[in-house]
Amino acid sequence: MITVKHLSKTFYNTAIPFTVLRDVNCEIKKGEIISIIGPSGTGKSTFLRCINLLEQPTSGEIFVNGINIMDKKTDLNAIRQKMGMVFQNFNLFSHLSILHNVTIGPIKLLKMPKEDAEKQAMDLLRMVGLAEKANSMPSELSGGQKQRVAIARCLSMKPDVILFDEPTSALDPTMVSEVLSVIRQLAKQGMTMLIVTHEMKFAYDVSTRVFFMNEGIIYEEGTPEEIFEHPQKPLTQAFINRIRTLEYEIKNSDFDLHHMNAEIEQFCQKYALGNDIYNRILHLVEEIPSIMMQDPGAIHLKLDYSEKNYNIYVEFEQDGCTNLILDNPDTDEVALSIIRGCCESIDENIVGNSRKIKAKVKSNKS
Amino acid sequence: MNIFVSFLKKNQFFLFFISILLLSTFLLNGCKNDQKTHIPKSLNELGNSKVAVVLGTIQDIYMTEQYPDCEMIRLNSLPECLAAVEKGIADYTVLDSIAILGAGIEKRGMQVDFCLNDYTSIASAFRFEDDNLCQQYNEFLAEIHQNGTVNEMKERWLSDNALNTSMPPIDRSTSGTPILVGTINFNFPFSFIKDGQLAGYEMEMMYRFGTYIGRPVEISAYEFSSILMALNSGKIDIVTCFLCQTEERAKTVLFSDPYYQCQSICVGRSANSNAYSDNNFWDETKEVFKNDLLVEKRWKLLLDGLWETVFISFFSIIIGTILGCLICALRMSRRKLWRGITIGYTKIMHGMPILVFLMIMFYIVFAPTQVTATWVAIIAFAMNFGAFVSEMFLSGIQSVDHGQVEAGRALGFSKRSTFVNFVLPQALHRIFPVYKGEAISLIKNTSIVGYIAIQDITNASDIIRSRTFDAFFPLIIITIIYFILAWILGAVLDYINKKTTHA
Repeated sequence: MITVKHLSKTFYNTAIPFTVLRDVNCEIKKGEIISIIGPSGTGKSTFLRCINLLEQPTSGEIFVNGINIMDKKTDLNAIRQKMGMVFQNFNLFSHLSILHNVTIGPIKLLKMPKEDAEKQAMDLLRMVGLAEKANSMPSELSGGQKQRVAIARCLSMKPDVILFDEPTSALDPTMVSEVLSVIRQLAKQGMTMLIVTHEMKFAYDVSTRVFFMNEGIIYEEGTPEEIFEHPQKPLTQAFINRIRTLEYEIKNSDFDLHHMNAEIEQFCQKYALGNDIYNRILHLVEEIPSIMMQDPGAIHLKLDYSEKNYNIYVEFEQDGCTNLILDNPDTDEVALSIIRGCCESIDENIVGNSRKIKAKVKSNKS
Repeated sequence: MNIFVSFLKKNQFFLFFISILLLSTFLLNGCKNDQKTHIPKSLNELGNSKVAVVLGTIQDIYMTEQYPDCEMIRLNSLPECLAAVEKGIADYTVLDSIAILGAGIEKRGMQVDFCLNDYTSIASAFRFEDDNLCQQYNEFLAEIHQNGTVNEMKERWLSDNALNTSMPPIDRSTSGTPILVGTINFNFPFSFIKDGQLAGYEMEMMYRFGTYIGRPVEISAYEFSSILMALNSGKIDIVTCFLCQTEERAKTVLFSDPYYQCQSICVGRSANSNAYSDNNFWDETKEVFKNDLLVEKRWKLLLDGLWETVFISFFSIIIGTILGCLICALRMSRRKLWRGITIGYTKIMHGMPILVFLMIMFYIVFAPTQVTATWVAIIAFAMNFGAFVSEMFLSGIQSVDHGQVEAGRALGFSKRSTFVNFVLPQALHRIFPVYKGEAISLIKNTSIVGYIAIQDITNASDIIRSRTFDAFFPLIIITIIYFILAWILGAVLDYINKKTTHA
């Protein structure tokens, strides 16, 4: 139904040209419900807005029902009539009553008789639970109510597909569920939808397919299980597990230990990891590099903390070393025992010509 | 009764305003001044008192040069000078002896303190290149002196009987190029409005001159301050408006032989000015009302003026609004040229006083054309209004959230119909209060059209004031009329706004 090929978008109206989308390719079939997730600023909304050309793509092709919509000859308005859009900020027509908001499209564009349009509007408003507000003005409604009206307005054009651009991001938490339940209802009715969202649980429940966007491309895609349970690629994993990272470079044995410790303390405080864990991490970053320093070569330290399952990993990487040191009988026994006391598990392996040590820090619960 | 109460409730402000006006009338008429103890016998005795004069007259020039110690109060017309003395704003006023004819200064607690010894010549003015016409005019003056017509005219206009005189029948030519005469319409008894027509000594003289050279005469009335400009820009051929011959003026215009010698007098408050106390407030107000409106059907002047004001305001608002939309559209265009032109236009219009712009349009831009003064005024006001309207529209349109446009486009509305259906209604709704204010202030701004010889309602009140020498009552009447006009316009705009928002 929608096919996107090599879509790219660069904004030139900023001080430095800014590429949001590099190369997006996808194919969306009728009846699919696609959630688009990813960190902020990775072009999710831009991608959605390119599909109905609210943003003009820099290059690439978009086909809707086989029609190239970027062709100048295409009747874009006709395409848009069949492609609804729900905005983050609702964008209800503030000078029109709720009923008029839902009837103006069918009356002016579909040339529907006024009575029919009003009857249909009332049905739609009943569906989203706002029939009694038909004669109110948008300013009298709460955010959640406005968004439900916006969905009804969208449906009034009988679209083939609806694009949701962060439909709940501007709502306070108490109103999110009322909007989501309307979208769930649409999902049951088999409406084709593309939803940019930050509501992970909702995306898991409702979608047939999930796009994880990062670095201007669809970085990983798959069923909700695949993306949320077993993400394959590191950035997807980091995003799904909400991993926070601290990186530090130890250049040689004369490095500034106090500075590193201060950084780690800051990191621990920021994510409220507690004193015990902080101490364990300190032990690890003191003892492991001291062992590794036997060999020359800078050490790259990486501290990962997942806000989803609370796992903390400390990772050390040293280039130019091909021998294992933890199981080496020459290694200091005392240091090793301290290390083992601080972590649940520790692995060492050689990748290429660099040595990697990854330790899972013991958590308070275990 | 119920209707009346609801009217009261709905129009509180209106009634409040009217009552303030009535109160102010009362206060203005009732205000009295201290008696004066010393009566001067010559200008030397005036010392540093406050002296009212009509701006630009020979008295103004003379007093400013000879008596720099006096504090000069320069006013626009004779009635204002007399009122200034009457109300104590000025101590004395120096003016032409003939000018106070019929002003009834004794009744108003004033008296002629002394006459000045020098005489000034009153003459008509021509353009230098029209010396032929001037020559003919001088011959004409000589002839009417010889055959006694002048005496007849003096008998008719310059005696105590003048108030009841009307123009004698004169055979007027109807063929040939008309002579365009410029005058002022508030200088009794030389040129003034009587029964809705220009009349007076000078007017009779001009018609006689027309007959003498066999050409029809067309007379129009200007503000004194702009009349020489009208002459030099070719709007008129002769200025006859009790113009004193001065050296300075002789440099810019060609004076004819003098047709009148004028003596100046000094008027001050009477020694015992209790003239008022005989009459009570109501009798006085009734008298004023009768003099200002009923005598000579002066209300008709106001009615004609009102029509002119309404006509100018109406078309200025309509044309100005259309022009404003156009300018706004060009302002939003992608072409830099259009944007530059329109921004420049708005900046100029915002920066230039409307009076200056009106004068430039009338005396320079439209001087060589046949466009009537009324339409020049409409064009000038419309251009000015258009600049403001375009600015309003632009800010209104820009204030509409871009999300509204996106919502419209996403539904499938074209660019144009998104603008018409969603952006414009919201923009209009937002700019409405400002628009209403500007439109109403435009009505009031039209009061300056007297400068280009249009008899609007303000001008009509000036005419009445020049005849009745009553400085305030006509002003209060036109204030009420302006207020009602503004109120009606506001109501009409409110109605349109209401109708369009709930459509």
